[in-house]
Amino acid sequence: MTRSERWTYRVLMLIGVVVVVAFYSWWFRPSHLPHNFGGWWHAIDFVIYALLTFVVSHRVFMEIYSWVVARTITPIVPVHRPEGDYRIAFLTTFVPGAEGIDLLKRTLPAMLEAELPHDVWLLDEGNDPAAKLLAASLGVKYFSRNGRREFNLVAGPFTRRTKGGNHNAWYLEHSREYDIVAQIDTDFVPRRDFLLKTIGYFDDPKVGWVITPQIYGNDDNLVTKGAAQQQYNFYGPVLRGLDGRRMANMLGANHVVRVATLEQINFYAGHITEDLLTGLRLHSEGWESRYVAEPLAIGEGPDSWRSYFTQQQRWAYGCIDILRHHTGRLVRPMKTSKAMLYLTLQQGYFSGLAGAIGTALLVAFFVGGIDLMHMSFYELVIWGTPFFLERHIIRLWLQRFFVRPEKERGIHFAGGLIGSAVWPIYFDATVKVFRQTPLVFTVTPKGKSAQSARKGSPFRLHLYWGLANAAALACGIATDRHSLVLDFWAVTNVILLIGLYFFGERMQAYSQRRSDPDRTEASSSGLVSTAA
Amino acid sequence: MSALPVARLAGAPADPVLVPPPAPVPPVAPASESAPQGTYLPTPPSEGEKYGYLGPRRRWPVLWLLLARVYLAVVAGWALASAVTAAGAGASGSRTLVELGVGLGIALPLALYAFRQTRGRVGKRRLTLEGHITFVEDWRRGYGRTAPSVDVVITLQGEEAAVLDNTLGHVSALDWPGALHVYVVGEPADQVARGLAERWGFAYTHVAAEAAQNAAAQAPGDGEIVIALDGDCAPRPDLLWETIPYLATGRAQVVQTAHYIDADCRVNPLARYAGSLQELRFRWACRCRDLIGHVSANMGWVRDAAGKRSQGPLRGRATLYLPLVLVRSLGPESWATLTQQRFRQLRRSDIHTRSRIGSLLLLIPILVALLWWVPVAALLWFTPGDLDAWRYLLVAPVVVSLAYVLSVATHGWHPSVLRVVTVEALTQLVGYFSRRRSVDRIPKRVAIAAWLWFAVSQSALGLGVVRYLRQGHDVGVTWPVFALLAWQFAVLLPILVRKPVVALDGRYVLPTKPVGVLAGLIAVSLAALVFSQTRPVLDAAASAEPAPAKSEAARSEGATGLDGNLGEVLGIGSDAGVMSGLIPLPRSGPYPDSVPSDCLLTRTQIVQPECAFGDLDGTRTMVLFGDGTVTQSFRAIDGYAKAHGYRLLVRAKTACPVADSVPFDADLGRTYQECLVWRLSQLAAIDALAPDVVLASQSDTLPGATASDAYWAAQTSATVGRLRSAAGQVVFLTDGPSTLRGAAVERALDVARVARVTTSEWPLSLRGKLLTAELAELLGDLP
Repeated sequence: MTRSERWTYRVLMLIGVVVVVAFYSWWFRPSHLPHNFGGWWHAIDFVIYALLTFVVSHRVFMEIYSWVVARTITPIVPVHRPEGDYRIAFLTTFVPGAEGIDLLKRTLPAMLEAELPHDVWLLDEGNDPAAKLLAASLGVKYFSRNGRREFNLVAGPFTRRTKGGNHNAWYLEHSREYDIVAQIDTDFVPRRDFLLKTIGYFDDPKVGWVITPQIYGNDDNLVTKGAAQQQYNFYGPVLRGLDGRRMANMLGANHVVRVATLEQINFYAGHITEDLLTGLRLHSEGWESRYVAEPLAIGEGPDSWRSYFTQQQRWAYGCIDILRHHTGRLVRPMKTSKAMLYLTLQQGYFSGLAGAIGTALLVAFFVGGIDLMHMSFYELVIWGTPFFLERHIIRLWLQRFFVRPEKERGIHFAGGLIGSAVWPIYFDATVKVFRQTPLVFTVTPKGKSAQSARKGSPFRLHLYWGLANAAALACGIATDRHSLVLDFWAVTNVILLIGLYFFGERMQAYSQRRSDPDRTEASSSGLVSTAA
Repeated sequence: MSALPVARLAGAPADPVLVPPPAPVPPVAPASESAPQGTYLPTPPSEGEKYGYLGPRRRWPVLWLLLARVYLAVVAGWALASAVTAAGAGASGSRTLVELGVGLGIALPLALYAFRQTRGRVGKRRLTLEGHITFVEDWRRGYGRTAPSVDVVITLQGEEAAVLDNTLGHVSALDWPGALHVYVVGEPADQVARGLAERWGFAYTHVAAEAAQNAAAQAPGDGEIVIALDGDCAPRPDLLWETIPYLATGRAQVVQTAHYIDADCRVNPLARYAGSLQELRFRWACRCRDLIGHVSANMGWVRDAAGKRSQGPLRGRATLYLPLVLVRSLGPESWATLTQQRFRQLRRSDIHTRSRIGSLLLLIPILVALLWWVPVAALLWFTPGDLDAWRYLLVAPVVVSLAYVLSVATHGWHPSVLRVVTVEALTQLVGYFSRRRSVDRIPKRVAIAAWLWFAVSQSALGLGVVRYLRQGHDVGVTWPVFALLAWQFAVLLPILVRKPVVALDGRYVLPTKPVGVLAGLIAVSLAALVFSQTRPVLDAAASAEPAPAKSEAARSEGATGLDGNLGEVLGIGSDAGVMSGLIPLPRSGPYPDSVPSDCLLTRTQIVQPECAFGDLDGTRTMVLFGDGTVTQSFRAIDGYAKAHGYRLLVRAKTACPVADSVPFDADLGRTYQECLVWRLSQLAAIDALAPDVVLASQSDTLPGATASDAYWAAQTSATVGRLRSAAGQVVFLTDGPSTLRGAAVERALDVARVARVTTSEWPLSLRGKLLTAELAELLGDLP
């Protein structure tokens, strides 16, 4: 942050703190507590109000997290050319069937073009002849663990059908030949300066890895645009703030890592979100990480509701699973502030739980006649409005720290819509984690292979939750139970969830039709050529 | 890394001391040819099954079962404590201590055992799937040429040729880069097994008789590591790769892998249930010591300098349980094989080498499996009034556990698995006391024990239910007992009658004597019931007297008739008779000191027995109506009725006031609905009877703070008003004006002009005489 930005930040934070404190001072007034039960059973009323507070405050909590993290944003300073004479490998993986060979034809040449001396490797999960031929014709080194028992195990570092397992197999055989390994997803096209802008950080021996943002070039339809907009805040102020603390998360899509660092923890973790867990382990070992907030590689975002939900479910499942099984142990060696930031970051996907509890509370009110709160709608508006406005003012101000502020600034309607639509998926992932139902690693369908994704509505869960809200609302009408706040909440849920079931795919198709493929392609290639 | 073929190595000379002299080898056909049609031969576990027990851990079924078991332990302790005190153990002052002691003595060990077993199932695993794979693969990558030599020892227990051939075939496929020798340990005279072993190129040997119980510990050969297998199993080819690294690196001296038996439609029900039970033990076990008593094979150990296992079985820190399914075994498919297998396991386990206390601890689950019906029977026989249907609702977790939770916890689960549990428990019990017996005699001894146990438990429950109903208890309260009886019958009878006799074994293994014993017990019990119910009726019918005279006739029969009969022996005699009005009162004195207990209904009873006293031939009728306070003056009133020609009918119910109300009963913990039902029925009966006199009485302290004094007095007055409309005269025996409520009741009675007598203010020694005089004055019976 510049000096003026820092002062603005301080003022906004001061106002933010005031409105948050004011809002919750009002929210926690004893008179707002419901009185459904008497005697000792009155404790249940406390529980009900606590659940309501959780539902209302989850998003607020995550918002405040981004405010706090943003404090350590530092101005972007281009890194120097690397001083060390590093042996560099540049890897990408390929899963035949889930990813089209067309992606490789874009990605491999761009990887070869990258500045600084390096070897390009293709790690083929399926030993695909076409991929092997392509690699040979381009001069790309080829590796496949296909058919090798020791690299296709059911768990551990060499788990079959996982990206981490694929990488680890390569590391075991070839990592000794290199000092630094850069890796990029097949659907990402790196700029020529990808290595030049990242390798220099490794001159600092404490730096274990460097990450770059995940930028989607195909934002030509509702889902992709929404998925991209949802990430702007994370790749902007959040990661830049974490970079200021030298604790940027590891991102599987594209990162550069020191081989010695990975060797210390026996390479990537055998996990469905191996990047998050690997980064956590490395931070726990004391390594630092850096973030280059420049669009060094442009990739493809999920271009259908199903692929978006698949991706989000995997991330949510992995994150909550890590929180449940690993985080507590791994954050112990960290500083308290870092540990708290890690713990807070991993709460994000509990928005699914908040959504489900919200519906349960609505059902309790409309069906069971259980009061949730004693507060007037107008008071809620009076006390909530300053807080609401301040949230949005800060959010708009923080947009200056986006990766591409000139392109990414805005209201982000698409991001808000799919952000509201995804909570049933997060809740499903949460339930799966706590029921210990295994989630199989699924590559997000990309490229031409995405067109062969299976049919059927991806909004089945939305329909169930929407019907639950609708039934509760109907019961409330029949029994004449009304509350302006809760009526509004339930109607919003019904419209959003059932509306998505009936119109979600149509909206996506409509936005697809409206977009100009030629313009999108030109825009994407333009980015590459500009960078080149 | 190519493994050396086992068959080539197995020809290596074995220990000359152990190897018997060569004998003629009978021709043996390959497994596929020698297997009788329909014989099920196990195959190695699949890739999916291999790590199945290391998958996600669902602890909630186990915790659910713990809750259910602790609850049952508490209920059992409470029920038996109630029964003991009801049976008269100790003086009244020490009864609380006795009850507490018995209750805790029963509940505490059961609950502690449940906790201990649960800890062994939900505790932290010493191994995770990722940790195991990482460790084994690291060792595989770095073992070089240091793979230790391994001896695989297969101990025979009379397996069929086809089964053994199948086992040897799969053992020959074991993959191992180092030296591997296979030894088949069996009976010296078993030429078929010898032939099979030699055909597969393995050494055949036997051990001394005294070591036969633990043949694996005396393993032949000189390999660095020994792997023990049964003769009816099918190991995976990678069995050694998955287990040896732990032994080779010194991480453990003994490793144990899971026992695994198919629990699906491929095997018969008995084997399926045995498989399901095995899964329940091995899937959830965390450590080796959680498996003590169930382990005899599928284990490996490092041979010490003496060539034996370096430690006792599964003891100490150097033991490691690997929850891996690497070997599939054949489950017991008949009564004989089940009982014999379990007995062998019992003998090979260290149960007999433990301390006496340790052995007794192992008896706890056995006793739980066999005596779970005792608390219910104790309630039925000793404190029937405490038997309430709502209490069974708390047993719901157990029922749900059986129906659902266990089916989640293990494949192939069915409530009928309890049959196998019972048989196993009986085998362990019999085996515990028959440790020196030949294994061949075990099936028969277990069968006898099973029949006896079945007869005793069924008789105790069945007769208890009949007695309970004949005492006039509400039938609505007894449905859970009926359900329990029916369920126990359905679960246990098939295995005792159908399965072991015909279907499973194909031959009759059960002796006929137990059947006779059972039939005899049932016949005697039924005869006792029938006799106790019909004999007085027959006598009365012979006397051709009207109904009241029947009791008189029965009374004269009492001492010589039922006192010495089997009904008395079985505890179903006099009480049942009194409550029905057919059996005479005891002859200890001219009058009983109080109302016989069966005439004063308990809280759950609603059917009022006849209970006629006084002058049974009297032309006038007197009704004694009210709660338990009526019993205090019974002797005097009965004397008065006798002297003045009244036929005295007792209509009394514990804690049920005369006042027209539905009180909340603290003992029941709910509204006392039975009181309302009984009161209304008795008022209707009194209306119909139109007695000459009604003596009513109630305790005014009963409702406590739940009713105001005015309300109480008004409701009392209301009932008394109804009695006055039916009877010639009503006399109320009041508590007296010592309390505000008592005074309010007296005022209300005075307003209604109801005669009242306050007996509580009289000295005890004169109460009878004063009451007699008072009644004579009020009823106009003065001479």
